[in-house]
Amino acid sequence: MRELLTLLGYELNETFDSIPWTVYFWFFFGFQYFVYGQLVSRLVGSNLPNSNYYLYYGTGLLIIMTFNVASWSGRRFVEGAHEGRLRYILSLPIRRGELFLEQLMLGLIANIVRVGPHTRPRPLAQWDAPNHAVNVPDCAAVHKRGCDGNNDLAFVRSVQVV
Amino acid sequence: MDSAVETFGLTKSYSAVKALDSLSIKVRKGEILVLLGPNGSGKSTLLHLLSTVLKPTAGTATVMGYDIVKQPLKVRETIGISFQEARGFWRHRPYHILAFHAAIYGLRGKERSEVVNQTLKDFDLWPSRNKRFMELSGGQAKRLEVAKLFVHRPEVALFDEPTAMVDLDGKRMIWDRIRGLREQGSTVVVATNEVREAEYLADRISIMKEGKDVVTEDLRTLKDSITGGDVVEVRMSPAITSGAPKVISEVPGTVRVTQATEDTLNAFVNRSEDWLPQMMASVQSLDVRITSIRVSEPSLDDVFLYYTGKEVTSARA
Repeated sequence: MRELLTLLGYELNETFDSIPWTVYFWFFFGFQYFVYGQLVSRLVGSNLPNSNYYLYYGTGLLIIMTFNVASWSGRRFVEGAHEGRLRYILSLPIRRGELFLEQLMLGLIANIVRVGPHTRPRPLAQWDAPNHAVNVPDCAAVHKRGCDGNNDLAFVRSVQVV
Repeated sequence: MDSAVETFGLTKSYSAVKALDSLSIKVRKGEILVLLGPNGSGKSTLLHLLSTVLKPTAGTATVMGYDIVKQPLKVRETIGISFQEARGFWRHRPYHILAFHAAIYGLRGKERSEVVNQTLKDFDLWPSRNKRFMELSGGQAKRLEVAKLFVHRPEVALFDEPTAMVDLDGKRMIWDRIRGLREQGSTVVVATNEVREAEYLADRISIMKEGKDVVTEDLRTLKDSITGGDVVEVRMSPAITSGAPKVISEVPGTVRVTQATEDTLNAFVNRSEDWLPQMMASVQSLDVRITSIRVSEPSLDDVFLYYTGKEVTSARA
């Protein structure tokens, strides 16, 4: 376990060695979210409860980013094999199972750091599929911000489809 | 147990290609064994198998008594390997790379810092200690790769072409450090295709070809094992007499005789030191004056080319 944590610390250190890249990552997320979200909100009309498209766009981006980080972990593993990094790690006195666990932990932590800051806002939506009529529960009880009683820009911690 | 490493019919195949073919060799404790062979002869594959990075297709090996298939973790705790190509974590700096390596092998705190700093100085990496790995020159990266093994000083040290891309001064420094490692009790296996490196380092040399061990001996024995390996150059005055080639070729140990110049004969002889007096007596019996004799033994280049499939004479032509 000591070796696992040493290796994890070492790899995390390299992954987040460049603070600017992590900041850029968040910045570009925000930039995309603002520009495309606003454009698409104007282009796409719907009867969905929250006509503000930002909410759907943001959620979609988070999902994409989660997959992106997962693919990053896998790609890092394969690239490590090509670049000779993996060969070095395999020659160290670390159990193969611990190494696999370490790679999972690395991917998870990278995921949390890169995606985590954007995962708070989620749309309030209890809606009736056939006619898209929205039934907003006790708004004051479930949200801290954004609910104006007209179902727009309302946030709760989870989405419930009835 | 007098062998630090022993392989038993070790085989590694990639589809139809056998990178290593039923290899059985022993490395004695405390010696430097050099694996010498052309590209693709299986040297690196052997080191990768011994370090458990690869798994054998058939056969097995032991490292300090631990089986590479059944006890890979124990083997990895015992060995250290310096790879042929220096590759690593591109953004890390030499200090962190060595400190991580030391930490994995259990060095902590002040002891670790001292060992890492000393190793950086020993390998002339101190001025570059704060550069990123990707900013190092090829030679610096290679020295860093080799230096890893001097941080934890393994019982069995495996070096794959330790001086590739390193300048002449750097080569000599690395060779001296490797010999120092052996003097401190480590068993060393070096894979190389540089004859000079083998000559400088080896207690014994294993010549490999097409995944097989062709011969494993010390340098003296290897040189003596070449048929007609010693060249005796006999210069006569005023010129070569007609009977000289015949009498020389009749001396036991002589493989063949050629005329090099108008007054010089070259005799290719096995172990010339055993037959030289008889050869001189035979020539002098022809009533000819010998003005000079020069004996040259085969170089390791000759030995290498001889065992890897070329004529020793063509190597020196």
